[in-house]
Amino acid sequence: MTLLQLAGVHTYIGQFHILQGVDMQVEQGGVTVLLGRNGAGKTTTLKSIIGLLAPARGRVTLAGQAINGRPAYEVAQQGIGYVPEDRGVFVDLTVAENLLLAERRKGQLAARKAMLLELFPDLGRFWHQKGGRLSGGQQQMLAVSRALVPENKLLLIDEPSKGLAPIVVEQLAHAFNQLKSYTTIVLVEQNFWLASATGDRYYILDDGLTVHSGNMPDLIRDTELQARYLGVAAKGRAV
Amino acid sequence: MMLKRIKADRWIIAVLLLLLLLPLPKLLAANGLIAADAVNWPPIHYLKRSTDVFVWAVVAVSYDILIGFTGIVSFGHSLFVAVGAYSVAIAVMKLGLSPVVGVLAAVIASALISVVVGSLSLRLKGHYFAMITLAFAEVGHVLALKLSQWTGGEDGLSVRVPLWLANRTNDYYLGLLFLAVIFFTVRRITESPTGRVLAAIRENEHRAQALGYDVTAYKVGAMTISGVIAGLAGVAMATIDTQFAIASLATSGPTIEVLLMTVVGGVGTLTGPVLGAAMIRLLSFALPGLQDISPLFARWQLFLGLIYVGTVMFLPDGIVGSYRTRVKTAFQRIFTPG
Repeated sequence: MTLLQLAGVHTYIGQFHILQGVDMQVEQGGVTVLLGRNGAGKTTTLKSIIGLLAPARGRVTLAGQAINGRPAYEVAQQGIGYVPEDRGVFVDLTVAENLLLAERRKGQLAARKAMLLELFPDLGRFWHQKGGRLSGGQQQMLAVSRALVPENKLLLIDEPSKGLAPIVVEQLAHAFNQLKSYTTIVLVEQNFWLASATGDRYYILDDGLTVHSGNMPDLIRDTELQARYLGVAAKGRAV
Repeated sequence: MMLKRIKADRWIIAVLLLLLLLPLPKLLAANGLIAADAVNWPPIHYLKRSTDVFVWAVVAVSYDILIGFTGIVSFGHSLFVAVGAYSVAIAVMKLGLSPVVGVLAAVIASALISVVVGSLSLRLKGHYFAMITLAFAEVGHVLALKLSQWTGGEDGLSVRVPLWLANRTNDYYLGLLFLAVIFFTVRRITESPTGRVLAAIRENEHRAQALGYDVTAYKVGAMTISGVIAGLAGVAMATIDTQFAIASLATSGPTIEVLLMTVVGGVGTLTGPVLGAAMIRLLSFALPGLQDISPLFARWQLFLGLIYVGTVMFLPDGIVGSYRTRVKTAFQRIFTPG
């Protein structure tokens, strides 16, 4: 079943035409990875889905319902969790307060706490610590956990591995693989190791256009495609 | 929990007790419990100045909801003070209604105007928002001048208060009670889930939006709470403080003064704006009196400007904010292993 669909999405940032017709179809369950070089339009695609940027043309649908042009808070309430590139942790609030903010119904955090601590045991140790005092890896865990507090149908995660130590990236890969049974993930990632270790399907963007898509195992085998669009050769771990 | 809260608030409780006890001799004398001619302390001007500080501290606390807890910088905040003051003044002096009706009218009028100003201006960001609030305040100022049959025009409108309110000791206690109630209510709001959302909005609006919060609605809500409190402070000004409603209340001058109180005391600390209000108001009374020492004090606003520049340069978190940061850092240094 198709959960998310983008059809011919065009988005501008100021006068710059960033997305020039992005098409994407995300099936329910699993991880869909959005790949591409810097400036290809990956982050803009996520922002166009969540509503932080309004597409000028095209259609974005979630479970068949059009969500393009609606304000971000309404899109989020439809069941989309967004983990931005900068992690989006509220540095003046504690870990617990950051998580409580994501509740859409009272008691959601209490119901999900055990699952979150199983995914990221470190969070328990920093429960009353301010977000700003956490390391990059801990902030990333908090950001992902926050998106998991409400029962979101879809998580949009933007470059979670950015600036993190390899061991933390491995933890994230483990967590994302476990999350497949809870929700659907659209993952923007430059780190090909993490993308290939977690992704089920992929889309490649180039200059604001969807240029390739398919199943992740096919991309792992296709080193020529990787070299052409991603500038990587997936030999071993590119962490 | 209760004990923990009392321990955390011990300084506030101590100051409140001290303020409660200070005019006790006057209160006892007024009730015939001690001889009236034996009581020279505290002097009437102490009670008068203190009441003024309490009322302005409420305005500063209401402004802290905007600037400190929601990240909104408004240059038109004193419009709500003027609305409150004129509501009660017009109700009592022009319509012959009871002051209680005036208070209700002030709450309704300041809430409505906050919602209108907030809804029309809060979609704008940064200095555009600040400018539009300034424009709204100026509209209020012009209306207060032009609708002179209701507002008294440039002369303003003095309020004839009931006899028990014409007593400075009573005004002092009412002002203190008013400040205490508003302070603890606002603190309760800022520590509630709604306060958490406002803190998130202050830090990053987009993040709060992406979590599913209607940022504009929350900001209008914060502005309404803040506006109603400022309106109530206007009521207090027109009844227990100056007993006067005047058009200049709606100009940018009083807002800048409140901004100064909040920044000097410590934005987002609640106790800071109260301290800032006490400092700025008391200095505003004291400095002009020093003209005999030096003619420089004729330009006493200059000193307030210097305090502002000094605070921004050396105590960017304000007095209370910097104190908290430094004490915390010192504790962390001592108790962090290694």
